[in-house]
Amino acid sequence: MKHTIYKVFTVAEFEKEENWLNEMSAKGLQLTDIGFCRYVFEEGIHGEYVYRLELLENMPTHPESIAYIRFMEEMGVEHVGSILRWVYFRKKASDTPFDLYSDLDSRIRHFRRINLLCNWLIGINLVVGVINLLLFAGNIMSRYMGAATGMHYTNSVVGSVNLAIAVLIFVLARPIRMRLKKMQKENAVRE
Amino acid sequence: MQESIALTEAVFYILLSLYQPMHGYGIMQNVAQFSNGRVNLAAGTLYGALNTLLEKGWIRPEHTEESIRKKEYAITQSGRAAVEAELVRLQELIANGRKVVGGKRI
Repeated sequence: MKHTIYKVFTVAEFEKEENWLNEMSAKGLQLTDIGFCRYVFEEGIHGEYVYRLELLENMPTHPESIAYIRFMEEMGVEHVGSILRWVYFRKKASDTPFDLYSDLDSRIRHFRRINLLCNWLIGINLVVGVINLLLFAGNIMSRYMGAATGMHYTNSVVGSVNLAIAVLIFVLARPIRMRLKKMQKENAVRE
Repeated sequence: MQESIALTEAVFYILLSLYQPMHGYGIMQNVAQFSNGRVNLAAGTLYGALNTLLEKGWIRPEHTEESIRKKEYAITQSGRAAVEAELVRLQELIANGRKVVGGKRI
């Protein structure tokens, strides 16, 4: 029987998302398909699969991604689905333990990729937010100078929303930045 | 970035495994066996390491009958040289370690 669940995980919450997928698996619900904020589960054996997800360097259709996914499949890992650059893998729990990375360098690289994505999202929202607020300021200015334009609040609303999103992502990404710093410090001591 | 000549455990064991042609899954099992289950190469780590080693020319793709289904790899001359150099480095570490720890404590 299929169960479709709608749930939102932000960019920085990928580990939380992974844990949730594995908790669902332990309850007997195995993820079989993925959409935007949409998870499709099928009833099955409790704890049958271990789920991992990661952010690829490129889109799944890129030759490098295709080679990577193919390699994973050769290793007995199933590609459950992807959204944008996020890929979802699963492997039978009865097999050898399933982790994507066993060394610090690879883990650091992955976290950096995620951190970079967060920074881009923060940056774009900041820029768009500021532009909108400037446009709004321009609107106020021109009225002040006597122009016969009406008050347009769209820009102020959009701009404020963008800034709010930028701040939100910045705050949500803090655990990622902290983990990254911690791992980089550890890297100086051992591999 | 530190300029280091030390190989990571994963790389060292991958190179050792490839003294005979082997595919990814085989390397993973081999390394686990070498280390008595201590070193468990994850798929993503293995993929990255294999690509780096290919770039460095320390391993090369190997074409056997098996490899039509699964890509196989084998060590190259420069790969063997890297392993031998690493053995020398490790022996130095062990010798000094034993000298300090095994002998008189200063």
